[in-house]
Amino acid sequence: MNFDLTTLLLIGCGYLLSLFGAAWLTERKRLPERLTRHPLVHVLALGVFASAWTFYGIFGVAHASGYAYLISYLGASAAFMLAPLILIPILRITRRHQLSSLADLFAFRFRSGRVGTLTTLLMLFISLPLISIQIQALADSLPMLNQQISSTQAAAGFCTVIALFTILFGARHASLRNSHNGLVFAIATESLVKLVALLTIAGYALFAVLDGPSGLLDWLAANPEYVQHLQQPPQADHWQILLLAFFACAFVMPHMFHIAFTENLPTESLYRASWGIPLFLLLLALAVPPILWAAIKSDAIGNPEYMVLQLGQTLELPWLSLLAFVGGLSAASGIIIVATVALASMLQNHVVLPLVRVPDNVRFYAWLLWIRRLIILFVMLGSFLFFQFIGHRFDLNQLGLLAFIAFLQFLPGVLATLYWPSASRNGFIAGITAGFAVWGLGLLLPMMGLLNTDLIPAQPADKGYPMALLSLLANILMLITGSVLFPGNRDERLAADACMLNALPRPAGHNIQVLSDAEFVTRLTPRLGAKPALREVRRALRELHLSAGQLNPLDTLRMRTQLEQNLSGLLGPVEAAALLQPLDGPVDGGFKARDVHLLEQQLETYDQRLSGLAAELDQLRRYHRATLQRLPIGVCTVDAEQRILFWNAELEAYTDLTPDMTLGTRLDQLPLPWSDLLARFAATDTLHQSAECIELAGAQRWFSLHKARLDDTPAQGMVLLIEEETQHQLMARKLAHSERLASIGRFAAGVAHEIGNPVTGIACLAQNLKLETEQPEVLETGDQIVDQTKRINRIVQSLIRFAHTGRQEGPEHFEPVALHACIDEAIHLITLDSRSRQQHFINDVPPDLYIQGDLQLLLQVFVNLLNNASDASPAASEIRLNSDQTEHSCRILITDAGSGIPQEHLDQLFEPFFTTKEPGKGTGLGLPLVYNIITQHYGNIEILSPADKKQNKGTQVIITLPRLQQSNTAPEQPEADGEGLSG
Amino acid sequence: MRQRLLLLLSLATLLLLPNAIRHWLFNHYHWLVPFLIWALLIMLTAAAEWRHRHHEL
Repeated sequence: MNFDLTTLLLIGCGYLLSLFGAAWLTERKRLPERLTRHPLVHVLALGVFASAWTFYGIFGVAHASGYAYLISYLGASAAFMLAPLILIPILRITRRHQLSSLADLFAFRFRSGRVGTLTTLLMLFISLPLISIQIQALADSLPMLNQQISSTQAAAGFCTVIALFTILFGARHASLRNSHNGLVFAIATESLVKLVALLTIAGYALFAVLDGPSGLLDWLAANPEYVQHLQQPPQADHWQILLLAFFACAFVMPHMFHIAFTENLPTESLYRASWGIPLFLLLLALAVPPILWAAIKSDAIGNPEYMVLQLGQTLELPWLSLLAFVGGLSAASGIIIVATVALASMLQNHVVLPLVRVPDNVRFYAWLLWIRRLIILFVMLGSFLFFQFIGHRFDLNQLGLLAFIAFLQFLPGVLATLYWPSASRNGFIAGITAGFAVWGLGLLLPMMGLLNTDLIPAQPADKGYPMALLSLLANILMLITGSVLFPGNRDERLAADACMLNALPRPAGHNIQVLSDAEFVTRLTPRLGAKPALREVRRALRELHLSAGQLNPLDTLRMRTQLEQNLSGLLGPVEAAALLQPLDGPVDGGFKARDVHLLEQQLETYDQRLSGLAAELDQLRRYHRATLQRLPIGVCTVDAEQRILFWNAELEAYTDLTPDMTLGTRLDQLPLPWSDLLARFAATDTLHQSAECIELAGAQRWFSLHKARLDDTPAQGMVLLIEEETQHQLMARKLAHSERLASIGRFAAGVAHEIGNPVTGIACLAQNLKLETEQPEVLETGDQIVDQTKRINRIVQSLIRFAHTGRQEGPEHFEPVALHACIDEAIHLITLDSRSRQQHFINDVPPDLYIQGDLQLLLQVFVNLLNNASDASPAASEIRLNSDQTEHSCRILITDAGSGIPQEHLDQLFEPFFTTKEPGKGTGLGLPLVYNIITQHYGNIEILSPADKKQNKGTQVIITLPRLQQSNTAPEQPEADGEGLSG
Repeated sequence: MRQRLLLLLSLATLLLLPNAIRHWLFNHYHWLVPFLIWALLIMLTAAAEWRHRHHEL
């Protein structure tokens, strides 16, 4: 049966165009996201594993070796079923460190560009046969459908279309870690198409050719040799090594690595693939026996590798042939597209970028994209040439096996990356070199007929498989020997720790010499260009939620790590590390303050649950941390270089400096006055320092400092305790002030007593002098003497009263006092004064407000206060007395409309002998006396000025006194005098 | 540690216990038996994944 060329072109190109359309619609977000981001799409995309070899070549294996064909499916299924052991850890590492290929992974793990380059070149070398198989599958299948088509033309056309698709949808983002959703969706569609195609053909073979399950049973009963052939064990145990090879291929082959790890599939999708891909492969494998037996029954096994295609041709069913063709086309195109993209990224990072410097006058991201597109073209051309000159001489089966065994050589490196931190780059290079040497000498060269052995050329026969095992053993042996003899350096060990299963990466210990984001941009500009450098720095700032400007040491380190990860996604880990190398200062091995904080951050964000002892230790760490954090005293720990390791919440409240602002900085880099206070104390030998006074926001605050050295910890630093003493200090000052007032009172009493008698004598003598003379000058002098002695007496009386109020006689002498009546009496006394300025005194204090006190002393208080108010107020103004009360206390408020008291005098009002009145008018003892009396009554007095803030005038005196309960007063209210005063 | 042991066990199964796999694939029972055992393994894996998704993710 011969198909029309136009029909074949229409179907082939139509299918590929529909893939273009699906990819385009996905990229443009025209398809619903719940469809394109569905885990099923991700799982189906991983079905790219089933290549043309699986679609066509597997029938040749089944025909020749029976159930040995299942080995390829079972190996890959085992890899996915054991996803938590290998695939998930690799996904975590590649995601965390933005690695985009196996070469990136090895280059990152072994901290070596050579490792990356070697891996890339070997991968390219063994991927060419793999891609060539796909080209060959199409080139061989088309002439079967139309004899006029030459395989070369078919291959050239196919390669051109696929290269175009790959460039359009596989190289859309400069960063290799950006997802190509369109590509993933197209590959998933291809997987679905090949699955449906094969199952449909198998269904037709079973129900139409073999007459259904019962017909199949009858046919097998009549031809038992076919079942026996299928179940015939292989002559040698070579299938074990093949099983391992396919196990490795499931994640090592570039297209599998790319879809599984580089396209940023959700971890959940990879977990689902652990059963989804085995199920996908099971369905493909289950389709093989019915098709095989149907082909045998129909005598369509002229070329067993293409029996799925020949079945339709033999049965003369065009739709069956075309279905097989489309299935084969989808299987071949899918793997070519993804493998080419993956190889291009590897070649870009590990071959081109180390050799070619980015020109200064180009747009950096566009330049990267075009480089990758050129590499894609180069890989496609190389694959085509390989097919044209080498590949077509071999069966799909043989070429495939050769490539799969070569991919196996990367398995020891992957396992060492995940499970053996002592593996070194020298061991890896030795191992991979030995493995490939044995593979080349034992398999490749004999197969090509370039080496005279007993191996039949172009046939990796049974003797070739022991060679494969030998290559693997040589690889492992050299890896171990090389790693033991030449252990890795510090960088390698750090990378090894970061790659270990469940690894909690240690801080890298860089000594970075950059202080701000602008400096990062400046340092990166020479290699990246100004705009890309700015863009990358801004991206890192955004991802870390940092603001631009000055960065603290911890943030600079986090910025460096983030930049390295982001640039690793763009340029690969080796280039990224080289790019950031100039930012680092010399590394010293000492314990760093920031290490503690970074470790803590990494523990907090550790995405795997700790278990066992580690979990309990983490609980203990959290408990100790919470204890320190919530201590009601400031705690700060510093390392030997006085860099801050810990800064607790109380200290944050004292200083308004958050841990983010302080951790990692030196004590002397803190803002003033903290740098001075803490750095000075940390530098001294004293362990305790009490009540250091500093000024914060215009107010004085006192702090006591204590420290203890931490000589037995890795940090070799000290712990500082900062305790606020401001309240204590203020109380002590108040106490001292009271003590000073009391001592002045005692002094005043003594002075009054000593002065009173002589002054009385002087006054008598002056009176006598006036009686003994008529001279007007002498009489006037006598009057002046008498006036001055009166003045002295007044001062002395005030002093005595002041002194008496300090006696602290206690409440046993107190009796209930009606404040309203007391204030009325005081107002009456004031108005009798000849100097009175006739202000209006308004007593709004309720008559039923009683306190326990001394009436005469309280009278003195109100007379003094009202006198002061009268002196300060203009004539005819109001002086109002009112009150408010609570259950246990009352407040009397005396408000005048006077000139007020200057702010600077407010603090001194209660000091003896302080007065603002004219000389001779005030003694400066009135308010201290009031203060003493009120204190004696267990009360409090404060003066507010200005009382009227709007007009900025007036003074308000507020007296707070304990209130006498009503039940203690009302029934036995005594009438002391006509004025209604009690007591 | 548990994962390491499982990996070692798996690799040992692949390399050191060929008879088990040989018996699985190349016995002379019904020709569908290898597929049934394979399907059973898939079901076990799916159950483990389901448990993981509902209890740990």
